[in-house]
Amino acid sequence: MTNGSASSGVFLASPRASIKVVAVGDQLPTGETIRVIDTFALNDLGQVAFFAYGKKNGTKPLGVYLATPVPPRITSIKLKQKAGGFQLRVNGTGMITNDTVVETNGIALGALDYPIDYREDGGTITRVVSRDPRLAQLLQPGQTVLVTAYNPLTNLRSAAARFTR
Amino acid sequence: MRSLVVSRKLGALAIITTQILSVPTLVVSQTRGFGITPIVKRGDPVSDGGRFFDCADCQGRVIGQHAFNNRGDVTIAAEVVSGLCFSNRFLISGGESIRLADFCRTTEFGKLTFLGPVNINDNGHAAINAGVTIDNRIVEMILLSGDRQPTKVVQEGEISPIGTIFKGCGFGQPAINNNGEVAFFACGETSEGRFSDGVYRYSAGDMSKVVVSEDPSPIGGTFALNFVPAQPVQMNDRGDVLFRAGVFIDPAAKERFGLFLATNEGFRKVEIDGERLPGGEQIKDGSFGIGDLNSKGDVAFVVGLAGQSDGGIFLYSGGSGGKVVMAGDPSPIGGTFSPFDRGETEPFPLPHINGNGAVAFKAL
Repeated sequence: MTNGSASSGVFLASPRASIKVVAVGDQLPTGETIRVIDTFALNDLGQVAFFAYGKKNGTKPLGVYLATPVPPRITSIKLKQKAGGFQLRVNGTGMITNDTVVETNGIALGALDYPIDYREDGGTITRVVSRDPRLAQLLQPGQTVLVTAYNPLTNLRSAAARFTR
Repeated sequence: MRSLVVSRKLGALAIITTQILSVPTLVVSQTRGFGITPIVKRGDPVSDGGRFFDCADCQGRVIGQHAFNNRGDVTIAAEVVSGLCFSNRFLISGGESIRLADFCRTTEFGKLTFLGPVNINDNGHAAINAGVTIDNRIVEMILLSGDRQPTKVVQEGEISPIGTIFKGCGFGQPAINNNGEVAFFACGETSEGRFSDGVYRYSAGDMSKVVVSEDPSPIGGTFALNFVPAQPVQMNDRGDVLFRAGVFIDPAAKERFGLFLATNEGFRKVEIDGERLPGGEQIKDGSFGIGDLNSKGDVAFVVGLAGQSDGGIFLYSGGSGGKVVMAGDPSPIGGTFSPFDRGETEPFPLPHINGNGAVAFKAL
């Protein structure tokens, strides 16, 4: 990395998005700090097995660890009416910048935005906004819909959250 | 003549012993996108004595491009000072460790003096690079470890399916798919002493050729696969095999280098040096990409780029390609990614691709 917050890491990426899996400087469940990430391997679940050392010179072996992607979780949903139309704001955790797709009743929304102010270190984001022109149709007044957040990169989907306009 | 590509290797198999690791640790540390849990920590007990990585200088590795399967099994290289043997290969599965190979025990193939990568499939079956010393020379072999005692797939000195002798640089990192088939790169020589390296597939006890030097290439001319050391190959459940190859399009022209897929419908080019990629990037002349293959036939590969001091990782999917990440792209932890191209003497960091099309890579 150049000018980054760590000198080495393992990342998971697609042509649209990238997210940190684990990086030098991260802490293990044992409380030890990773100084070298040696070898790693990936499986179809998006999990990464890696070997870490506790010293920069590749000594003090820490062992083999498993990094498992966290599924997205929706914490709140708001619908705003703006001059240009409706905006559906989905707040949550485990969502991925430029990757997470918001779905209503299983229909993927378009015109997604990943606001810079909500981006977190590592590639996650706490808010995804949809300005899909179909929102007025998909979210009828008084009708409850199921909203989900789906991360194509890790193939993980949140539990459904109920939303009524 | 063989081309020198990259360095590799460690240097011993089998008796399977099972052991219970320390009480499973449920402690999780979490970055925002991933939770971290231990598989084998330093100090966890080894079944037949000793504890994993029990010295400050002890080494460990996740020991293969596909050393981790969808059940969560992982194959590792582990040094153990206090145990039965210092250098070992283990399969870690369901909280147990299974000794696959070491330098200490005498196997039916002899006492192993070389141990390389170990790749596994979703059944926990392992393809192991190994070797024994005969007449002061390491004779390499590939072993298959499954439900029974390990069996030998191939050994240097044996006759290949095309009549050449397996010899010269041993075998590359083998691939094993969920059908139990094993694909591997092997050096070979004709009875006249001419190099004839290539890629072979082992299936249900039978071995067949995938590709060898002088086979016709899909971009014209013929393949040239004479590399030292032997190259890694990848294979999926359809039997597609990803391999690196040189191509001589014209006897008077410079050798080209690229990645190719061997499929049931013939060979396909994934990338070749000098060509322009769909996104407009041009692969540097002489850049020898390396990649990984998933169950759908998608390939993630890394190459050096023309006009730039660095390279990038690209995705080949359904006959087309696209950029995943390039040096200079913003990293999710701040700054920008680099380097991918470490020069002629350093191998590219190998990208990994899974069945979901996600690409994992290490950036320094």
